[in-house]
Amino acid sequence: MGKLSSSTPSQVAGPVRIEPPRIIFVGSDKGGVGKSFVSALVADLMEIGGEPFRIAQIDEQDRLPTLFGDRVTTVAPARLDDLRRDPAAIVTAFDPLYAAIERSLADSVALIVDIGGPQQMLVEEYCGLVDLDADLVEAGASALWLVPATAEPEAMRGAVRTAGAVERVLPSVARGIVLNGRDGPFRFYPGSPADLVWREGLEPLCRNTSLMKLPAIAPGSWLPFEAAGKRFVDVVAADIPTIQAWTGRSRPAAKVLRGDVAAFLAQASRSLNALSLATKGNSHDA
Amino acid sequence: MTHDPGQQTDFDALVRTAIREGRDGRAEIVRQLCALPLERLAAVPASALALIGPEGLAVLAAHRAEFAGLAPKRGPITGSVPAIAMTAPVRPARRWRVSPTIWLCASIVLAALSFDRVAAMVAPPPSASGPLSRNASDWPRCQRLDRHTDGCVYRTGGNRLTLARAATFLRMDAGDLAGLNRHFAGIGDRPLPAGALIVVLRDRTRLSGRSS
Repeated sequence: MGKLSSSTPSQVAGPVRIEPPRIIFVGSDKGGVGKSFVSALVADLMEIGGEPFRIAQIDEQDRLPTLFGDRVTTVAPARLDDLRRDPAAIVTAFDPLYAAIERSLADSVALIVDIGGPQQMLVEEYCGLVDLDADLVEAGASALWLVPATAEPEAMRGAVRTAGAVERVLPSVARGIVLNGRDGPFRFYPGSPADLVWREGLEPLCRNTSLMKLPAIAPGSWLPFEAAGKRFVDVVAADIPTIQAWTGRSRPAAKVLRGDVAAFLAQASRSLNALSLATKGNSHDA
Repeated sequence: MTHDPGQQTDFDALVRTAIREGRDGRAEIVRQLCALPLERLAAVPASALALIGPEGLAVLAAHRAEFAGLAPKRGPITGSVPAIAMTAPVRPARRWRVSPTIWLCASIVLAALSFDRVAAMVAPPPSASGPLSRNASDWPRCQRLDRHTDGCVYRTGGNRLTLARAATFLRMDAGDLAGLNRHFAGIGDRPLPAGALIVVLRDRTRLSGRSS
């Protein structure tokens, strides 16, 4: 495994890094918490800001390749059979990820790494095996790991575990908790299992790491676009007849649907920008 | 993230426009719903009502005399709300038309409250006989609670039955019944919740298999 090299190593010289994160991991070991949703959102917000990006997907879902085409590299997950035969197979399996990171550092194009739930622990193991953290530090690469969670005990437990693992294997990488409001607010009945996980696990973590609060899109307003394979930017930039054609809804309803997505995107953008700024101050001390 | 300010500004303008038009669209849907006759409003699909959100629903309710009392009255959002919807008189006779509904509801509530008693009187006796597995979840359901009930599990229908009362129906010692139903430990004289399972077994020698 070669060492990562950055095209602009001088940028890490000071105590405060002024560049935004070049590598953004999105991962949590609980499935269905909105990881690909967050990856797509981050990609769209980068596009809105005119920042080039690529996506490495460690998963076999079709969603991101459908939305972002050839900007997505799919890293085939390591197979258990291979791992049983050859413990080093994990390094081989994730070589394309390392190559994508190297490429990103070389051409300064941001890389979003979307990690499927079942692959999360393997990626952690891989990061530890190849000592990716040391390579990132040496290359002067700023990186951020976003851990999405929904207001559900298993999702919150998964986020806490993942954030702990990331701190262990990638100590120089800033961590950001994404509170995905999709399934309801993070307020729980006192003493309930969800409340305990929140108060004893995730809430203290939110206080100690960067936090992004992702609002819920108004009920039913995103599903028609998701089903039609559209991106957030597509929806907001489309005119009403186009929205009607995509959703089959009346003109006023099409306005409502597009407005709800725009309101979500505006709020998510503010939240992510705040997270990005916080990260700049936090990610330099490794 | 480093953003291109020009591109960002252009997109911000699109976002603002979309949000404003979304608000207009929502207000337009609320206006259309306010103007619909009740029978057509009742046929509006839930997805369309969901579009107007809780605030839109409150505005709609405030503009429909039919829903009076369901939501606080609010001022009209536009001048195009039909006056008839605001001033529809409620005839005295209408109140009496509601009465059968109230009686029906009251009957249903009373029937539910007395379910345990009624079930005990009308249901056929249990048919379980012979050896029983040690796992009570395999046992048959008790159809009623009386002195013949044995070797079955009774599921409470309402939430008024106490364990002591069940023991009285069964003509069993309350302590024995409580011993069989340790999952109710600590409930005392409080009623069992609806759907609670009461294990009824008078003769433990009927149990077969090894205890775990």
